Amino acid sequence: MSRAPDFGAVKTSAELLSVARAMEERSAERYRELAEAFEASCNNPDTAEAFAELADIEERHAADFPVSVGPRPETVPWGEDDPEIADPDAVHYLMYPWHAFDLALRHEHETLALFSALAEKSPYPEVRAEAVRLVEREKGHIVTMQTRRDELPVPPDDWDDDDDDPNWEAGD
Amino acid sequence: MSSCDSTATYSAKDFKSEVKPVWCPGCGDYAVLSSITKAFADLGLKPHETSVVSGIGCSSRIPAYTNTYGIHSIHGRALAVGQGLKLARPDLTVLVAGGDGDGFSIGGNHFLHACRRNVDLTYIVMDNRVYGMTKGQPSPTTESDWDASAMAPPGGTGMTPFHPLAIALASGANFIARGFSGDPNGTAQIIAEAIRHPGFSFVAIMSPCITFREEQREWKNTMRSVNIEPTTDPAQAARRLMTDDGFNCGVLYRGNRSSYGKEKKATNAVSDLDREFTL
Amino acid sequence: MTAANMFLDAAAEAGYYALFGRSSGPQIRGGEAAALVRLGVDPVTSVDDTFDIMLAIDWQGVQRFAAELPLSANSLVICDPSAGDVPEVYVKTGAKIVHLHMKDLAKEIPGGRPNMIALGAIAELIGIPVGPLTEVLGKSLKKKRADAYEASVAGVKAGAAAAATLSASKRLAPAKAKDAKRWTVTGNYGAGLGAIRGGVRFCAAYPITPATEVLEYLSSALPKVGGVFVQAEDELASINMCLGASYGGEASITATAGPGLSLMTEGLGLAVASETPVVVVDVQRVGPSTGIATKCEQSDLNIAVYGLHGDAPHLVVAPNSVGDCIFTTQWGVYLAESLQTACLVMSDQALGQSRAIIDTPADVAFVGKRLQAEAPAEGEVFKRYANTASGISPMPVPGQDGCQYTSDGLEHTETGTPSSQSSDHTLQLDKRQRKLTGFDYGNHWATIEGEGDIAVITWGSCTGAAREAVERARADGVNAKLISLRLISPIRPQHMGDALKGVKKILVVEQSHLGQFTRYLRGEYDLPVKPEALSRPGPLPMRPGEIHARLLSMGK
Repeated sequence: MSRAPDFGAVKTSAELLSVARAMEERSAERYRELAEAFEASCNNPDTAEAFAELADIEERHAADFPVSVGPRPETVPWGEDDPEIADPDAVHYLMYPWHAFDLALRHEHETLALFSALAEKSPYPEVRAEAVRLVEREKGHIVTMQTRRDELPVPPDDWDDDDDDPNWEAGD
Repeated sequence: MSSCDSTATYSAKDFKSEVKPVWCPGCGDYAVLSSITKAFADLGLKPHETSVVSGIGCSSRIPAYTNTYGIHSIHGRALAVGQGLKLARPDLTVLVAGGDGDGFSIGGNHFLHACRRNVDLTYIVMDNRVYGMTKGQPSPTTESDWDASAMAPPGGTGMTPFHPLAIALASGANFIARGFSGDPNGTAQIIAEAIRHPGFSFVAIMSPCITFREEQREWKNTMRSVNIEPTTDPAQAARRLMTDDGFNCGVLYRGNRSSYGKEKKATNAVSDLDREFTL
Repeated sequence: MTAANMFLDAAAEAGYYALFGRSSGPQIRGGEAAALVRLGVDPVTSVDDTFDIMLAIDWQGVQRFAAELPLSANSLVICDPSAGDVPEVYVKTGAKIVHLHMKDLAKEIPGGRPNMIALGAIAELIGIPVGPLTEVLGKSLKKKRADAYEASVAGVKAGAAAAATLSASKRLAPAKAKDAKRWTVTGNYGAGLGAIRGGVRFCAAYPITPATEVLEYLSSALPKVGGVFVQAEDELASINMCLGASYGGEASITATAGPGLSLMTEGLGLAVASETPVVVVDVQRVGPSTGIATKCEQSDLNIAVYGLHGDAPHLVVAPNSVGDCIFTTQWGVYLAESLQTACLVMSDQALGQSRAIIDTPADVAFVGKRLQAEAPAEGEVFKRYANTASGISPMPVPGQDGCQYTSDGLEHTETGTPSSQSSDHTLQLDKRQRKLTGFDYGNHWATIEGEGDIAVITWGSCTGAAREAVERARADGVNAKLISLRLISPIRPQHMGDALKGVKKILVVEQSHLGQFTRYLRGEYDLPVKPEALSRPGPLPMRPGEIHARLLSMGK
């Protein structure tokens, strides 16, 4: 359901900051959800742990914003196309922690691209200025994710092979 | 959460329970759960005055993941249970949820009659065109040529898939919409609208099964929101639904039939009933 | 049938008790039909061995009824010679045959009908005065059409006058003075009334013979008391709608017969596992499959007791007279609500579709009441399936804040969370059984009458015939005790042991080819002696004579 982002949706620098922080929070929530899913239903504790760590990282990113940013907005203007947030189906039950951080890295890149575009295309000067600062912040996040990913073992080519047929542990 | 506070407002989180879903990571049903709880919160509902009713199947596990009054009943019978509850307790908000096998195969007859009866409740079908819980058999909405299943013959079943939305219209449903799990906010809005609309509201939510139908990951590129005014004219809705490619999301039909059931009002004492038997 | 109902009302007016059954062909309209009436100065709970009077307006399709209309040499056959010869099967009985020109008499009256001539004739023969008859005619006809009323009264009078000239009479003993108001009720309407008295306010059902009248009654009576009736699309929907309504806090009922009960068994299992009260009235008919839909048989016992998959203890009760359909259904609702489980009320066609004149039934205090839940303390989780001493866990009503839970057919923990652990399964199985076996059912578990060396154990509509047989045997010097089980499941070993103390012989009476009740008693109870069984299938009703004969041979 791709929609082009509406670059005029955010009108002030304060608004942009609160949206940017909400993006980090939403991203943390999604990673937390994935961590629980991997823990509860597919016996993949390493990846569950990786998603939990990602949730922690995103929470720290959200906490980096000054308290003065104000309450979390009801919605984020780019909705489900929020680049910071992982698609719920972008995962695989056999995926490795490396994949989790690779996924996160991709989203940090996408967020960077969004803020860069905003820095150019927003009709409001103060939004453009704030977006430039956010681009710098995202660059830092990219480094974090990439470093963390590269510390992890690269998955083998046959990482998604499963000799067993699908099963439902609690089938009813 | 404080009890006895009738003015308390509840967030989506308050509608989620502590029980962790057993769904596969990446399953579309996680997002549907979020959409449902968001819709409840947006409507200002209270968890103890809301009920989620289901049958059996992957998606039918959903009541336990909410903090509402839930019923996880038996395969195919969710709509019967839900209608009974709503008719006995018109004051409750009743949402019935399940999958395509539960709703259109074993529960198919109840689906037709629930549409026809038009009890004021919302029915959500998380459609992934496959039986997930029993390991990937074709369902009534599975494409006729899908054969990547141990139980499907080579070349597929050869049977035309059901068109649940058109069937709902023909059977008398009062509100018909399609949502997509990949668009939880849009879907939450549709669900909220469905709950608000009187009578039987049917919301088909395309929710990929990434375990048995890996190709459904593509749905995020093919599903689209339709920004058309929902029609109240069944003939126009029929045309719209029959020319639909299955990827249009939004409210497609909004009927104006009044919902089933009369106001419950006692006019007699139980002892008055004796009269008809007394000589 | 209209004339027969009027006859019954007139007999009741004159102070008699009665039992009225019917037999008809499969046609929807206009087929052959027989009204089977037994009158008495005391309450009538059984058919007799033979009929005293057979009045035949015509002989259409009589071969279908022959076995249901036994006559003896003492019987009287009244027939219209214009309808043809008396069938050989009745001539052979040696019954006295007299002619009454019903058709011709009717023709002499403008708008006259032969059935009114018959009505007047039969009233005259047994000694019911014309007064009560015309009163009944007035009640049912006067408002509708004055001319029809006049014609009917003229017909009744003509019939009575013609019968007076016949050299035949079958006068009833004079009726005893009525000390209180009496009721006229069918078992099926009675079941409906009992349900409402017990607190039922919701019924979802699918029509089926011979249970339809339960639904017919509830569909009009429930809205009057603030209840809801829904015609469901099938029996799967009816039972599950009832479960939804019951979860919502309303005592719920459905009624069906064997084929419908078969469809409902999965839903009943959910009621047991999720501990949701529900009552199902099964008006038994001849099975298996479609069987003989309009006739009685007691052959649904096995499915009622053993028909659910898994270990699923639940309640099975059975009314043992037309009037008892009121009490037993009410009691069934009370038990289901108290014990939070499924209760099957095993009525049968002979009880359900028979109409009886009875003494006004007592309005007993059994009104279903669930153990109410209270919200747990802050920070604690509500335990819907708490492992209490009685096995009964408090049950909230939706809307109650802080008690939200998911009712589940999956095995679960005390909070209701699905669990596949052995310890949870055992705990919940124990709990669901304990609440049934530990409950105090009082003395309603059985109807026990008389004393003697022989015990007649029976149930349902066989009870009336067994009672009459026991009375006849006593007159012959053979003393027997009647035990009619009202609570079929769970068993009451202690009570049964007490009831059978000193008993040397047991006769089980039931209407089942397989002897389902006999097998059940032998399998579940430690009986002091091996019982003899008088078990045979429907569609013919159990008659007192055959039980009486058996008792005499056992008493030798």
